[in-house]
Amino acid sequence: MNQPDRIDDAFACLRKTDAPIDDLHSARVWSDIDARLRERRSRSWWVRFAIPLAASGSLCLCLATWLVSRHLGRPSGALVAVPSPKASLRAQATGLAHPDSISVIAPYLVSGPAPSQLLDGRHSHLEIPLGGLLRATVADQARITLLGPAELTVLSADREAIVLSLHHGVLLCDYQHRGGRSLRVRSPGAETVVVGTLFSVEATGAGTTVAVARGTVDVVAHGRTLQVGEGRRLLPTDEVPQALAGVAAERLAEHEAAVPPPQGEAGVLSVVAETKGGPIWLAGRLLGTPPLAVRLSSGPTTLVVGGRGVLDSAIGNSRVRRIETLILPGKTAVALVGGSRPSRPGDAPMPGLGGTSPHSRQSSPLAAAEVPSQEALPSDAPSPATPERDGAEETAAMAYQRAEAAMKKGDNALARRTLRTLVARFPDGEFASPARYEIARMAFATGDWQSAQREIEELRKTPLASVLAEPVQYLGCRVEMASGHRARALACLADFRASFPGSPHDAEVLALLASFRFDETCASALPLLDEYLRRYPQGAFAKDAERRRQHCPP
Amino acid sequence: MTTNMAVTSQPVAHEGDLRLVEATLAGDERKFAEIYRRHVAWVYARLTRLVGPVVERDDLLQEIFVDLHRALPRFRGEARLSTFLHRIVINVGCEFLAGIRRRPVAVLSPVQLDELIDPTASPESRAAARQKLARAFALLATLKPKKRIAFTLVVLEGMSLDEAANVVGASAEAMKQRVLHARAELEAKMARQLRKDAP
Repeated sequence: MNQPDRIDDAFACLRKTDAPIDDLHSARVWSDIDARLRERRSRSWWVRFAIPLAASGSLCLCLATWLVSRHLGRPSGALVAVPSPKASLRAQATGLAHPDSISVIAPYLVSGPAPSQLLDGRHSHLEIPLGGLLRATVADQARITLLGPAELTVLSADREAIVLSLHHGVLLCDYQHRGGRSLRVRSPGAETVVVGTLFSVEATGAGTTVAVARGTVDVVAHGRTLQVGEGRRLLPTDEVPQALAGVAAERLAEHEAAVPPPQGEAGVLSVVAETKGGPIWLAGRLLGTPPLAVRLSSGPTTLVVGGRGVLDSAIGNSRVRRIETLILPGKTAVALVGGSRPSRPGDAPMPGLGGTSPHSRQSSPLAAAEVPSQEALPSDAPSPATPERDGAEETAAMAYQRAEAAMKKGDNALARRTLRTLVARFPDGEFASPARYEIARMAFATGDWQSAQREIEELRKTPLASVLAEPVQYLGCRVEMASGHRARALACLADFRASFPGSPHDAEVLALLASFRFDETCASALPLLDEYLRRYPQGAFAKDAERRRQHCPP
Repeated sequence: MTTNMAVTSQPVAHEGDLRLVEATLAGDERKFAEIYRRHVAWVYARLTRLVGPVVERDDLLQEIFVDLHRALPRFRGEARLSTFLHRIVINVGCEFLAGIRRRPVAVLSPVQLDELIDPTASPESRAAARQKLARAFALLATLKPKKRIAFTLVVLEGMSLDEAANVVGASAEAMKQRVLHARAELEAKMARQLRKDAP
């Protein structure tokens, strides 16, 4: 192939694409543009000039006060204005920070008993109560999770290093090394020096435990420096680092998979639990367990609320709901989840979005919100026999619950029948896809590859919630393997790893890929075996991987 | 629920644009909303092709129309409004691309890429299209902004050198050189990749 052909071929896909913009998306962007244009129009001369002048004046005054106090050797109590290019003029005039600029922790998610007020502004000291969880960015270079009870203080933050002090509690951190700045975490009996990595520090009365999932950290303890590498953990009593496993590894994996900080303008979403619910997922990333409040990039978003089993992807045994909402910049939206559902059309609707809560200090109505529930289900759908319900028309949720109950009892035939009826009656409902997945899973378990394949094909035709996409693709790969389609299974597994890098099935998929490749050539299997041993040294396939690796010449 | 807008992703006709601009400048801000509605679809499509399906696109889209509003007094109707707007798209896109070159490259997620793929296609063809798009955007990300823009306009959007030069505000010869350099760089990178992938 000559040069133009090769380039034309590589970019032909781009020539054909046309990114569509739907009307809701377009309207949302317009509302932001309109707000900016209104702001421009409403700015009179004194807003343009007087406030910046006043801000500059107060900045000079504060700087002078601070310099004088430093000169006199007194502790500095002065505050200086730190203008942000994104902040409005009013915010610039009033936004005050400590002169040492150590207020570098910007929380974006709090859950449990951690107060939602922490989401306001930046902090240099945080205390999280027992059972609380906080996620934050530190100087825009680190993403941290604090598990309560915990106390964290910023000791200093300059161009060379950010120094944190973890008095007690668990700190999980993903640090991106930029501009030669390192991160140091001081904790009882140890100091952890980080260059760029995913690691955790747990400070307890017994000392400090450091665990590293990616990269390397230096731990200075008892007058000596120990290096803790990837997949290792150092307990207070350890002389040398041990393999990372158990809760520490799970926490780090969960931290990595958690929802990222917002980019650009953000609003606050509060999720209030009426009853204890399962974890909440947002665009495939774990948000947490309610009650929680989170700063999210403004725009429409879908929360997937799962019950039991969602974390291990056994979605078929969970009740899954979707709440679509629109996050507006600087506003608070409230979603109430986990409550009981109305039993039939006409009952009181699910308490939904747009209400007020203790979190909604800036409370405002939502521009658009939708809670799919039974009311939205087709009223003209056929009504099969539902012996469990006395007269009332069975909803999709009820049918799904009935199937779940049958599965629990081990009556898979009844569960399958109920799920098939559900899919036939509510083909476009929110329970149709989970039901199809469950049918496919049961078919796979009984060795009926064709039925499983058929259901998976049907699932792939519909846009899936991200929480369902991963198990569907994984099951699809297993069906391909079981039915002997080796090439398709290999492609499926490779695609799965590319699409879901943080999947809980990654270890298993990697092991399968390595085994397949090992059957072909050692050379193609070796990198996969190495990766498996590096990432999952305690995994179920580790011994086998080591044995196979020894069979391969270097 | 969302429905697709019944608008085209091609620049809309000139007729009426001048009238809308005049009305906006006379103080009727509703007419600017009309301008937005007429042009947003093709601006979004061009912007996506230019910078990729990045998460910052909405911010850039805002920036483009706020810049257009600010620049309307300079629009005298000698060129089409779409050409005028296209220049703004290029400027905003160029500034963004220059900015992201200074930051680590974010990998496009499958969800971002799916937006550009026919949803009715089979899962196999969707997976293949996703891979091709990811590779194409990764290759484009290696080019400097000016070369990337020239390549996008001329090779991907099929504009003539003169048209592209007019939009970018450069000479046709400069555009030609940028496209040639971009092609050469991409070819070298693709050849390197092929060698690397070879068993």
